Amino acid sequence: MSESGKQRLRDDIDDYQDSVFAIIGFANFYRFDDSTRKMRDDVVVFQGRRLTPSPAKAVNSEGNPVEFITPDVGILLPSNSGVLAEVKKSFPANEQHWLDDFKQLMAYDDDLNGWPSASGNVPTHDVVLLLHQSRARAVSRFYEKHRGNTIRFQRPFCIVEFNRSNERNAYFFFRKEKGDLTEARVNERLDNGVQVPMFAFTGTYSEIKIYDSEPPLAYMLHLIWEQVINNKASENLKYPALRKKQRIDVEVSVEEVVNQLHERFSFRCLHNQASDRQPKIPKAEWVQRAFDRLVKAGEAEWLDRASGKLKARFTKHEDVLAHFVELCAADQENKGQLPLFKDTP
Amino acid sequence: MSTFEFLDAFYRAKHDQASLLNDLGAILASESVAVRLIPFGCETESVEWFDHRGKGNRHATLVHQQDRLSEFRLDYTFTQAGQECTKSGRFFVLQHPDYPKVFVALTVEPSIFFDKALMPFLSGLYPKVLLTFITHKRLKRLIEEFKASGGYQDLVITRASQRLRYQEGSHFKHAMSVVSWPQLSLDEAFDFVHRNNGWFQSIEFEVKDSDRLAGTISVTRQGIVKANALLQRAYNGFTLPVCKTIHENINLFSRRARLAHPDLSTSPLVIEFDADQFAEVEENKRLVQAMRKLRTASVSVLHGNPYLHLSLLDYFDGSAFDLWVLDDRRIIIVPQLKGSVASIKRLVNHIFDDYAEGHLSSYQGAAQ
Repeated sequence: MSESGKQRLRDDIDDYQDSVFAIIGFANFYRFDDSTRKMRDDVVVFQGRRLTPSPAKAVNSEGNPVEFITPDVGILLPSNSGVLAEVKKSFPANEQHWLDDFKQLMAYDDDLNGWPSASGNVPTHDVVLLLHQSRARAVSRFYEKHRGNTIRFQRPFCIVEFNRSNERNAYFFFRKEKGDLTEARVNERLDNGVQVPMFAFTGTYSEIKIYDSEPPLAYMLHLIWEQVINNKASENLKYPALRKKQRIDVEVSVEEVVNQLHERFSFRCLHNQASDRQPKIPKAEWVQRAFDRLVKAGEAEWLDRASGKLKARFTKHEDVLAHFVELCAADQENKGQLPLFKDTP
Repeated sequence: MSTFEFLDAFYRAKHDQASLLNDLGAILASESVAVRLIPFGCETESVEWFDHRGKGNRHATLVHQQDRLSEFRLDYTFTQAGQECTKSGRFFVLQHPDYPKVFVALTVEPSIFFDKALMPFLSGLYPKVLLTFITHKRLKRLIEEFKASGGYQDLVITRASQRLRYQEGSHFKHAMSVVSWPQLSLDEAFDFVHRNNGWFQSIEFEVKDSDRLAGTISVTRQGIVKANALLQRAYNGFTLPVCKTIHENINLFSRRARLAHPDLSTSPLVIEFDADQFAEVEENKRLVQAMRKLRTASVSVLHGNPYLHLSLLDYFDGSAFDLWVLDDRRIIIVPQLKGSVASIKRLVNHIFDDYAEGHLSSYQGAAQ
């Protein structure tokens, strides 16, 4: 197993976590009340919610019907105005693909239905591209170049750049790169840039580990193993004395994992609303893929794949993440998928 | 009188919670023996469940119980010089009057009973029974306060064992033969060990009162006291403060698991250090190296530089933790869905033993 293969997987996990941290950091500019130094109850944050396009945008430029759109972050303010944001830790190296990302954002620039408001609509909302600093300037220039032609926004559009510091006292930096936000206090703060110390959100970082983008498989396996399978195994009386090569059989289902991780590790803790529009994260197919990998590794067997029932062979790994990184790195090498260069950023 | 005879007489006499320490003190005055005091926390408010409890070759029987005092017989088998020996000894358990989950085991039996029977028995009851640990600084302060409150002329260290943290090659030194403890003052001894990034596993000292040897006392990092005199003073000076620490820690470590909260929110703890402990990024590696020595656990590094994020599993009971270092002076411990008192204590104990000692408290977080 090459070290570079494993490192790339670890970098992917790092990027995934950074995206989660960026979403939390950005949403909290709206949630946090400077005067009371507490989170506001009247600001609703949602993630991965399905919003229905207006009839005008119910068909995309290729002529295909659009059932719904799912922005990375949604914020509903007490004024009933809102914010929809898309997070891009990475952006394609090839500029030709950038228009696709803007098309996705332009789909958010619509009279959407399904907001968590009484009517399901908002009178107006901002559209925000939350972008890693390394790409922000170039993407901003691209936007300026195509603005009014292939890229058009009716509603306020803003590019906010973010970056994680490499300093000893870790923080996330957020700054407006282009455009303005309607919410004056947030707009003002992001004008010159804000350093958000990571220690401020340690609790939230530990509560939210996934969003509606599929995590790297090794990370998904790590979460399932540590937070679901290990918990179930620990209820077995043999667990405390289980030796290294011994195992405990744990029956678990896709549905169970989806429900537990959704309840305990998704953004559900921020919106705390069950809604048909709010799909459960992780998606069942992500968990199914993780289960398939466990079966392939001989660490589980399907009891009934159709109904998602699995018997995992729990053993005590000394480093759970390293174990699954090794497993997934081997997959990549076997498939010859290891790219020479990382695309972004 | 032989040991057997005076112990037999002592056990035949009635003792109660008020008189036990005096009764044991009287034995110390007349016989050449020592009493050991072992403070511990328990997940229940009673130790009646020790009765008929067997751990390995040790079996406890409740002999007598009245109010807060219980007396147990402990039968044990061990091998000595290739021969299997079966013996029996007794110990008392006194419940703290104010802290119902805190107890002190007391025994006047010989060392072999303490080493081969009582300590393995109590340790074997983990995680229901928890011993504690006291920091290097606190141990020094307790000894200083003991000296001051008794108005003793001098305390002379006669024996000590210490551990040093993260030695090169990962081998800890257990002895510093160059040190001649009796020639060092208390300050010098503690500073010496502190400078060598270590802590005392146990320290034994003679209590000098007006040039007279008033007694010999030893105290361990677990707060276990052995005294051949001055029992009441040792109890007041060491055991009671350690009981308070156990009580405070049980409270501090309780209800930290996310599943203990209806909203599944986290209840982090923070270990704060005096200086810029993590000023150098290299320090992350040292902490990871120390954490990987945690027995029966999984330690995964999710991010190692410049900030540190570890994911830990305790294979004793399935507790899980996120551990973060996000600035230059704090370790933040976030218990996940399961985070038992025993597991949190084990984790903090390990950090203090193998990495560095800091100030532990509830983490309030901070807003942006």
